[in-house]
Order: sequence, then structure tokens, then C-alpha cells
Amino acid sequence: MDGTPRLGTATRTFWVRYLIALVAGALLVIPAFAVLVVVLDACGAMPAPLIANDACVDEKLAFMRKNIPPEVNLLVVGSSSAMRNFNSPEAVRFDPTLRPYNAGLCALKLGQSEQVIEWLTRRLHGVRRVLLVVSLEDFGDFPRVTPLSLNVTKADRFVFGDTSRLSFYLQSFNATTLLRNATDVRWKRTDMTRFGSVVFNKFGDAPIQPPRDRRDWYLKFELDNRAFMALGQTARAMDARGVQLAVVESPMDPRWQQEFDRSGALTSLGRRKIREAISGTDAVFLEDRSGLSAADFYDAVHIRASSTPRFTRSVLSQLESSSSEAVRSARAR
Amino acid sequence: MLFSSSAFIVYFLPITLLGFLLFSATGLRRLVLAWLTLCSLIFYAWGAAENLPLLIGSMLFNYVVGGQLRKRPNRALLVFGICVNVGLLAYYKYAIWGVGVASSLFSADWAAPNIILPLAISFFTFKQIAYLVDAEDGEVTEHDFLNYCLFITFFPQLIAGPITHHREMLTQFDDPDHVCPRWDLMAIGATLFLVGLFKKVMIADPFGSYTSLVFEAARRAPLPLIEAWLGAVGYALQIYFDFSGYCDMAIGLGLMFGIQLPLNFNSPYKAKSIIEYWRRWHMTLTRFLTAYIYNPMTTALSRRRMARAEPIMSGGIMNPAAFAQLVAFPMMVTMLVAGVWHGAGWQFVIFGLLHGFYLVTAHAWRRYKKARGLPLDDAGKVRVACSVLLTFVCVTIALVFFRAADVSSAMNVVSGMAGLNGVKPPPEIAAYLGTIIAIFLFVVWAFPNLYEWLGAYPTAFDFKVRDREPTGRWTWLIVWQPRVVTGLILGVIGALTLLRSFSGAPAEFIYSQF
Repeated sequence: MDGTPRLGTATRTFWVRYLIALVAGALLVIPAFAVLVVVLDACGAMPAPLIANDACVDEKLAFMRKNIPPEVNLLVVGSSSAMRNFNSPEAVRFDPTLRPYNAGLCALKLGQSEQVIEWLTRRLHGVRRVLLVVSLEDFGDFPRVTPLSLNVTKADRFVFGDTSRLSFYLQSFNATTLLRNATDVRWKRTDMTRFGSVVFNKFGDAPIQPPRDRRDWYLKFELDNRAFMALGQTARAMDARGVQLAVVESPMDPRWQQEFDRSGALTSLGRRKIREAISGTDAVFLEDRSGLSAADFYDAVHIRASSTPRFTRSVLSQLESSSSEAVRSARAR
Repeated sequence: MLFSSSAFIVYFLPITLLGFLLFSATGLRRLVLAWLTLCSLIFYAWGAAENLPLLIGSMLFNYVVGGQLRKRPNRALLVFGICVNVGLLAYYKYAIWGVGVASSLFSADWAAPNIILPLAISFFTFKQIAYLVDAEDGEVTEHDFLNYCLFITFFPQLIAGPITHHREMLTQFDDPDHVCPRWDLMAIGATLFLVGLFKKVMIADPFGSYTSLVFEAARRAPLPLIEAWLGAVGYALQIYFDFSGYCDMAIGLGLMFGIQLPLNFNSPYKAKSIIEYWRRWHMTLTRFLTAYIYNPMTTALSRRRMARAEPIMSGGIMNPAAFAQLVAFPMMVTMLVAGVWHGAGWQFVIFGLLHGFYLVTAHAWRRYKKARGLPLDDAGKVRVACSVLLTFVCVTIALVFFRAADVSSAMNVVSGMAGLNGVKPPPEIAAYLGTIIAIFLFVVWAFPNLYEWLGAYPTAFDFKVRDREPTGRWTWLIVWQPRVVTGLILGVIGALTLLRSFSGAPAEFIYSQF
């Protein structure tokens, strides 16, 4: 073989030693990783396991694992618009009988909402009312954005199962992402003035109060018909499960409208398509009537924490009147 | 079964190795060969058992025809054998595309047949065509069915190459120094496998997650300048690390079983010309195309010119008409075959023709320099750097067609690279991605490749950089040596890579689609 002589005993020992070192190095990784987990945990810098491989979603799932509410009668779902913009404490102040749970997940696509609602209504008994908070951007077509990779079965095992956390870290291992997340997870969990923070209140809301705006997050987009079809499918599925679905419009920053939808045509078209998508079902659509101004937004779709009570009150008032109307029409029938 | 999957690493490989060690201990060589063949067939059938009869049928057919050709050379039988192989490949690989093209040409509404491309058909077809041709030429000396089956199916090279040649494989099967457990080869093989896995999982796949977004966007609209270049160069690096990682894994696995596979990938982006590029990129495909398509065409055309008394040379240089007929035409045909061999679609036709055009231009340029008495190869660092860069840019442009879903998507990227779609502000990720691309381009251009790093030890078939192990206190830092510290470091990197590889669904190897 290439003139390579057969190996003598001494040389064989040399190679065997190398192979043993190779295996030993590999085996060392597991205890080293366990030590790393313990140290990072002790420092409060251990990021959540990579269930969806999105720091925001994974932190939310880790929060949900630690905070399974005993009783929920109002489930809030959707993308970050739901997680950042809905103010659950304000909802409780508005109606003390409400027991909300915000399960909004960053970057959740409309097509994934049905799965998430189905999952959580199955797990959280007593939920008969779901608020699906959507902004117009949730219906946008963004070919350059990776779709959120959320495996609901895996998320369910993580949130509601009793498998150890370490097992999830090993199952979803990515050393570089884990270490990168470890470098910034501490401020993300504590500093709600910075973009990307995930400071959860006990209901699962994660509002942000940044001192400045995020101007590079204002994007032009086309509406994606697949998102409306997914919404319609969700509405029908909720009907079948006997869950009352309210599709709540989260407003767009007026500066975005000024730049990309001055005539309001896109917004009107989006609203019309939402109505069409849920027509024939019991779902209701609550158009935005919060009257928020540009100062209330820090980017195109997210509201500052200080302005979320106003948005939430507006939603709940509408929901209340739509419920009364529904009761009246039911009685009339 | 993919090399990076847990099914392969946790179950298949250890069981195959264990059986290999046990059967080798019995001293019954045929049993070892039979075990490896059986395991290779299981490897092939894993997840797609319906393809197994096709592979076995193809081997039986070619073995019988090859045997006949070996005994009694017969041009008609050879042509028949080649036609059956090519026909099978054409049916499985090009029927859907062909029906689509015919439908649009004749404005008909013909339904495309429902055909699933059998894994590795392009690879085992080419290998067997070579076997038939050589059998007819009297170059096949050995004709043993078990050896033949292992030559075709040996799992490290089955699904994505290297395209091995019967001579280099069959001779090893009968050599007592091969196909037997050897600690040195086991250690080198494990090293190659882990480094290859690292390239694939830790470098190529992350690049892929970005480039797939760019090429998906290109399906809908033309791309602006910066995004187009980031996507194209990112893909060039993705396929580089994907393919080289795959080849390293294949060669490493072969070594674990005492079989050396030929080198398939030798720092192609260091090539100073497109001619050199094809000597370094998918080297075994180039070898096949040259030996079984280009050379026979050139020989036949030369004979025809000579028979007609048409001049080939004038003043010691090939005249333009002869160049067109004997170089340009066969080159374009060969590269067209190379293009469509990679996939069915007009984008692969363009990919092949583009490389054909590059090669013809490069050969013409060399002949021009020769005619002028200029040195053929560039000297001086700046000139060499310019040559390498120009070659890389040409390759990157062609790779856009290779990666794109269709021709219009490819044009949306290429027009963006040419600046025809404007220079919009780059996406947020551009600075990060640009830095990563720059780092890996530096790695690709400035560092020795894996085989140079392991240069003193047997790796690929007939490939060795150095005759002896270098000595010196710090040599181990820049040259691989089987030391304990090197083993520990590679073990840690390997384990991190394995954990990453198992952490989600393994990504597909790009080349396994061919």
C-alpha cells in the first residue's frame, strides 16, 4: 500500500494509543458539557435548550415549562405581536374574572397557529376562548426569512413532559449557538429596555420599553394568500373543537403606513381577506381601534410596554361588545 | 443512509466494523468480502429497498456482458451494453424532464411519468460503462462476481462517489495488505471521517441555511448586487465544504476497512485556471469523462481528419479549424454530458456548456500563448492571485446555475451579480455573513488541505505528499501526527460534531441527489 510497510508491534501500540485518545476525547465531551451546564446555570447564563433553535421562542418555551398555569380561560396566541403587545395584567384589571395566558411565540407563522392552539387547548383544560393576535406583517410574504422551525410534539414533551432538561440540551445540541446564546441570555432575561429581551411576567407577556426605535425593521411586503388560507383553516378547526376564536388586529406603526401603504389599500385588502378567510365560522375579527400614534411603537409592529395597556383595553372592550352582540343574536335566533 | 445520520454512525458503522473484524480474524477473505458486500447492499436499501432490484439487476447484466466482452471483444455487444446502461439512466433521470420539454415544445398536455430517481444510479452506471469499455479493450484482468459486486456497491463510495475504477479497486480486493484490519488505517480513516463530518455539519450546513434563502428569493425576483454575491459565494463555499467533507468521509470509511479510494477533491479553489480546476474538483468524474468520452471522440475525429488528409498543425501549432473540431467540439460535448449528469434541467445544460466554454477559452488562450512563445503558466504572486481569483469567479457564476431551481432564478442571481438590479442596502445579516465568507475563503486559499496535512501517511489511493514524517518540536501543530494530544483534540471536535449532527434531522448531501 503506497509502499507503506506493515506495522510492527511497537508501531501498532502507537496507533492504538492515538485511537484510544480519540475515543477518550469524544467521551470527555459529555461530562465537560454537564459541568458547563451546571456552571452556566449557577451564573444564570444557561440559555434554554434549542427546541426551535430561535432564542426568543426557546426562552418562551422554557418559561412555559416552569410556569404551567393551573387555570386559564383566555389563551393569547400569535407571533411576537401577541407576546409583546398584549398586556395580561391590564386584561385582569379590565375583567377580574379573566385568567389569561400569553403563549405568543416570536416569528410564529399563521400556518403554525392552528397546531399551537390545538396543542395548548388540549393541555390547558378550560380554555374556551382564544385571542389570535395578528399584525398585517404576519400575512406578509418574506422569502428571505427562514420559517420558524417549531415541532409541536417536541415542544409539548419539553413544556409538559417530565424528561430532564439535560436530555433536551443533548438532543438539540449546537455548541456555537449555545455558547452565543449564553453570552447574552442574562441581559435578555432582565433588561426590558433592549431589543430582543425576553423578560416575562407571570402571564407570559414579554413587553419591551426601549428608549429608541428600531428603524431598520420597517419592511415592504406583499400579502401571502397562504397565510389567509391558514387562518381560515384555524378558524374552522376551532369551530370543530368548540373554541371561540377572536382574530385581533395588532396595529402597524403609522410611520410604516406613511412609507409603504399611504393610501391604506394594503391594510384594507388585508382586513377584507381576513374577514373572507373566517367567514362562515364563529370566529370574530376585531379591527384595531386603539388609535395608537407613532410614539407608541418602537418598530413597525411592536408597541412600547407603556402603550400596551391602551391596546389591550381597546381589544377587550371590542371583545366584550362582540360577545354581547353574539349573545343577543343567539337569543334572537 | 447518510454518513451524518445517527442510523449510520450509531448502528450501521459499528456493526459493519465489528463483523469486519470478526470475519477477518477467521482468515477467510471471501467471507470478509461477502460481509462487506452484504452490508453495502443493506446500506443502499436503507429507506429505499425498492431500488435494490435495480442495482442488483444492473450488476448482473453488466457482469455477464463484461464477461462476454472480456472473452470475445465485440463492438456490437459493447454498444448494446452501453445503450442499456444509458437508457436506464435516461429513463430514471431524464424522462420527467424530457416529457416536460416535449410538452412545452408541442404545446401538448402530456403527463410526466411518476418516476422516483433511484439513489446513486448516475454513479454505478458510469462505473459499469467504464468496466464494459475496458473489458472490450482487454484491460479487465479479473472477473470474479463477488469482487465485482463489492467494487460496485462498496458503501463508502456507492451513493456519491468517488467514481472508482475497477483496476484500482479489484487489485486491492486480492491484495493481502488490503481489506484487512490495520490499526494505522483505522486511525487515519477515523480522523478523515471526523474532519469530513465537521466540514459538512459545522461549516457547509450553516452556509446552506443562508444560501437557500437567497436562492429561494431569486425564484421570485431579481436580487440586488450585494445579496446576489453573498448568496453565490456563500453557495460556492457551501458546496466546497459539503463535497470535500463527503469525500473525506468516504475515503476515511474506506480506510477503516483497509480499502483506499481515489482522491476526488484537491483544493479546487486554489486552481489557477479552469483546466486545473477540473483536475482538482470531482477528479474521478473528470477522469471518467476524459477517458471514456473526450479522448475517444478526439481520437475518432483525428482519425477522420487524417483519413481526409486535412491538416491538423500549422507551424507547430494546431490550426483553428482543427482546434474547433478536435478540442472545442469534443470539449463542449463532454461538458454538456457533465452538466446533465449532475441533474435534469436547462440550468444543468447551461452549467455544463458554461464550463465547456470556459475550458475551450482556456485551451485557446494556452495555444495562443504557446504560439507567441509566452510562458504557459503565470509566474509572480500577483499574477497567480489574479488567475486564482478569476477562476474562482468563473466557477462561482457557473455554480449559480448548478444551485438555482431553474434558469430564470439563476438569471435573477447572475444579473444581480452583474449589478443590473441595482445596489440596495444589504440585509442585516450581510456584514456577519461577509465576514464569515472572508474567513473561510482565507482558509480555503491559505491552508493546506486535509491530505496535505496528513501527507506522510497513506490516505487516498496513489496519493502521498511526503515520503517521510517530518520531524521537529512543533511540527505536530502544522502537520498531522498520530499523537495522543492530537487524538484528544480531534476526539472532542468529533464528539461536538456528532452531537450537532444528531441534534436534528440530518441535512441531505448535495451530491447524493445525482
